[in-house]
Amino acid sequence: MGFSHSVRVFRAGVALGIKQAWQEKITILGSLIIYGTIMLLYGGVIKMIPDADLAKHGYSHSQMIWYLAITEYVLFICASWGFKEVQNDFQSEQIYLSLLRPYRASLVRISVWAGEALVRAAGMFVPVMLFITWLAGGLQMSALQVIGMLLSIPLSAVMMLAGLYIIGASCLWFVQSEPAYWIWNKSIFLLGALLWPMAYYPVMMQNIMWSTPFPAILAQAGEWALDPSLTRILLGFVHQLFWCLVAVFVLRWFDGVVLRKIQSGEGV
Amino acid sequence: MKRQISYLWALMTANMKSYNAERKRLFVMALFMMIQNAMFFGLWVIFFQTVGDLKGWKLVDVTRMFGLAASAIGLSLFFFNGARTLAYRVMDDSIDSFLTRPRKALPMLLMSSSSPASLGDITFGPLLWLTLGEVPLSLFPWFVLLTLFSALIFTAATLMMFSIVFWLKTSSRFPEQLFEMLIILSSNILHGQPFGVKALMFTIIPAGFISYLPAQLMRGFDPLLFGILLVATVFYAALAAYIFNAGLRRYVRGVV
Repeated sequence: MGFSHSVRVFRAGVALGIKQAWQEKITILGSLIIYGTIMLLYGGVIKMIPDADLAKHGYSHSQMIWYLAITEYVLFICASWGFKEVQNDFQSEQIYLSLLRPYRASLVRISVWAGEALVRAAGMFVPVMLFITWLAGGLQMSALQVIGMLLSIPLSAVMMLAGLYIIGASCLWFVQSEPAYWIWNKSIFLLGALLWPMAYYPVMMQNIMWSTPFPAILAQAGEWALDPSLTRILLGFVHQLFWCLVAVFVLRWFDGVVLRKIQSGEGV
Repeated sequence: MKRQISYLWALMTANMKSYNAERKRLFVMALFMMIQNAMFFGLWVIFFQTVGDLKGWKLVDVTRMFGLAASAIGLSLFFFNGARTLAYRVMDDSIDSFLTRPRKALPMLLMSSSSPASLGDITFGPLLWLTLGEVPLSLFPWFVLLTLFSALIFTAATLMMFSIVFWLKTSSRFPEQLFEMLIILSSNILHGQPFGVKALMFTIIPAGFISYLPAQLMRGFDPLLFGILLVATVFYAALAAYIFNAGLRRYVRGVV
């Protein structure tokens, strides 16, 4: 399958995803309600942190709130239930129909998710910016930081969606994907520094985290709110780009593994 | 009363019998749920390494609250996971099978399903209390009692959220989102939060009654707080039953 063909399939999938997400607009409202409530609660926790404890890392309450706002935003735009759709495809043997088509099943699935993520991102962006500006007491990010954040988020989304597909397809080996999803999800939370920046983590743990893709998925996008140095920006972007490419190649390789497993008759 | 209790017992044992054929799956799911809980709790451990306390609350308090929330949610989903299936059952009309029986639909619906992974949640709470929660064994019965109250309130809240489907023609995703929000809020720190947040958590979303109030009672018995918890348990249970039955009447009339 050529590159231009893949691009056409991706565009069609995105369009379908946009249509599907628009039909279920109420889930965007649900996402906004949950996001707002979570931010209200965790924002309250952050505001309770004594100034002296925050000063250890040189952050302000406002920066910490914006950090959390961005990492939560990345989580919310990528539908966490996606892996179940993939699992259902395999368990209901719908995947056999998908394999008959002249394009990869993973490409279609992820492009639809990308369309849905686009609708969620667009639908949530303005309310989130307004709400967090109120909660944090102002927009503490410069234009450059906002641009950096907007460039980081799509890279994060690519890795999240690739991971969700692989997790869903893992049901071919594990019967049920839920346990793998739980570990993946909580690894993103813990090793991706969802709630608190990486500076809060022990140094040894930070070194381990940098060797995993999880900071690239969450922490890097959030770091833009912490006014990072130029070195940190460049290193973070390289780290994100690296793991984004790894995610794409791993997905392509995994597609082949899945296809061979199904063709050998060892389906779910 | 005796007949009612034996009926409920029969429902419960029928629900649990499904695990006889899949014990390995039960234990694997429970184990991974415990691992997941431990990983999430790790975020709080990391947080309190930098922050000494939050307006008097230390890691030990968060540990007890988190353990209680996990056990309460686990108990609710292990015995009454049927509440979560309400949206699917209304959408595909499989709820009709409960309506044709001579007994009330609500207990049958609640105990029609069990989540195997929730066994991990049930186990995680006491493990957390024993390790980081500094809970003496003598206080265990008290903690277990508080967990039971929390579980009842959580079940009531879950039922109310999924009963939305009787009024809102929507997929099950919206109630599932509200359900996930309830879990997140129930395992978060409410101590020291602004009045508005607390008001929300003690009214529309009873997360405060599920975790925060029992966690305060874990720090020391207060008859007033205990009385409030008792009243809240009865209130939310009655409210959930009322909302469910009102929704069911709409369904039976064909309005849904």
